[in-house]
Amino acid sequence: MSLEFQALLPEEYLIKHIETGTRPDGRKLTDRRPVSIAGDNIKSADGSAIVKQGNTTVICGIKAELAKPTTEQPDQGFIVPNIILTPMCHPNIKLGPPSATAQELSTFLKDVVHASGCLNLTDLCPVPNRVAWVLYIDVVCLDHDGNLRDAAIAALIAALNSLRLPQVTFDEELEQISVSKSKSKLKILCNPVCCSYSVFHLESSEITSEENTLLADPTYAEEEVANSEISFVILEKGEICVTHQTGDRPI
Amino acid sequence: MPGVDLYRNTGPEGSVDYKIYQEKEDKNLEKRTDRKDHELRKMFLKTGVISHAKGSAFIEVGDTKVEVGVYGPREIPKRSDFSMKGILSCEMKFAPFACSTRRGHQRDSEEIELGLLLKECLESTVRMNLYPKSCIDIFVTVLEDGGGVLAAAITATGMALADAQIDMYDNLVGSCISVNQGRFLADPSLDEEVSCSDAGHEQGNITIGYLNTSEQVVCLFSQGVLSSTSMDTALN
Repeated sequence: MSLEFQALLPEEYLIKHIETGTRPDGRKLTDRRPVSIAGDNIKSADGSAIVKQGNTTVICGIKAELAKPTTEQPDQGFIVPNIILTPMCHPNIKLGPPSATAQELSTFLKDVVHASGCLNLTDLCPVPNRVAWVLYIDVVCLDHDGNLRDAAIAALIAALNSLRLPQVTFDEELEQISVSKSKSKLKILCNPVCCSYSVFHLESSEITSEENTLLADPTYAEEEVANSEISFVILEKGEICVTHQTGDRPI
Repeated sequence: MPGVDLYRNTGPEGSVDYKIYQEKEDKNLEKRTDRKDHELRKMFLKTGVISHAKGSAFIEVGDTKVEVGVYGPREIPKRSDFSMKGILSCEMKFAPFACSTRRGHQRDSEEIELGLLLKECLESTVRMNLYPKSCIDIFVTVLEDGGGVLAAAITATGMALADAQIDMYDNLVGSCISVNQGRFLADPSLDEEVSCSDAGHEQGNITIGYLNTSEQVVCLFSQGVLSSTSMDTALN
C-alpha cells in the first residue's frame, strides 16, 4: 500500500513522514547515512578513491599529465575536475553529452578545489616556465541515490590524498624532460568536507516552529520532491569555504 | 575551433602522458611467475551492486574491474523503432583513468567496437522474442583495464542479465587466451596481451563468448596473426 502511495503522490508521502520526525528509510531528519571511503584502488590511475554513502557510490580517479604552463601563471599547474554521470547510475540519466546537472556539479568541484586551497598550485609546477603537472580528476558516478555533492567531494579529496607523482627534471642544455620512476605524495593543505541538505517548506510544522525543514544527506527520492537544496563545504577548523544553494524560495 | 568541449572543464592543450619521458623497463614475459600457463587469475563477482538498476554485476579479474548495469525491458524511446522482437542496446565505456594513457570522455572507436561485439554475443543468448516492443539497455563501465576486458565484460553482462531476471537460453561466460611464440596463455594480463614479438612468430589474442551447458560459442574476436592450427588448439 505504501509503495503505491509513494509512486502516486511522492511529495505527500515524504511530508507525512517528515511530520512524524522520521524519514522513509528510518533515519531522523538530521541523521546522515554511513560513509565508507577506500583509497588507492585503481593501479592504472595515479590516485584513486571509492566512496559509498548509503547506496550512492562514486569512484574518483586522477591521471597526471605534463604540459607547458601558461605565460600568465608560469609557476602554476592545472587541476581539471569533471564528474561523469554514467547512464547506469540511474534510469533517468540518458546517454549523451553531460546534462545540466553534470555540468553544474563539475563547476562545483572546480570551485571547491580552488576556494578551499587544499592544493598549492605552485607545488604542481616542478620546473617553472617549462613543465607543469595537469591533474585530470574524473569522478565517475556508479550509483546515484542522492547527495552526489558530498560523495564527489569526499572521493576527490581522498583521491588527492592517495595521489603519488614522480619527480620531473628539465635539462636546460639538452632541452629534455626526464621523469623518475620513484613517486612521492603531494602535499595536501586541508581536507574540505561537504554537507548537503534538502529544504522543505511546510505550511505548519509540529516539530519545528520555523518554516523550513532541513533533511541531512537526502536520497534521490527526497531530492526530487524537495523545494530547494543547500550545501556547505567546511574546512578542518570549521570555516565555511563554499556555500551553494539551488531552489525557488529564499531561506 | 575543433575539439573544444563546452560541456566539461578542460585542461591546457597539448598535455602529454609523463610515461613517455620515463625509461622503458624490459618486462620479462618468458615465464609466468604467479600461475601456470593454463591457469586463470583469481576472480571476484558480485551482483546487485547498483540500487536503481533492474540487474547489475561487478567483476574483478586480477586488476581488471568492470561494472555492468541492466535496465529493461522498458519502452522504446523512439516510436519509429517499432519491432516485434525487442531491441538490445549495449554501450561500453572506459573510465578516463582505466588505462595506462588517459581516455577521452567521448566514446572512441574501440569502445564502440567492443559494445557491438558484446551486443552480438547477446543477440543469440537473450530471448528477445519474449520482449516485443521493448528495449533492454546494457551499460558497461570499465574501471580498470588489466587485460582481458572483453571477456570480463561478457561474463559480467551474463550475470547482470540473470540478476535482472531476463530470459536467456543459457549461461554466458567470456574467456580469453593469448598466443605468443607457441605458448598458449589463458586469461592474459595486460602485459601479456600487448606484448609484441618479432615478425615470423605467431602472436595474437582470442576472446570468446561461450554458452556453458549447450557448449556453443556465440562470439569470437581475435587480434593478431594466427594460423588455423593454433586457433584450433587455443579454442580447445
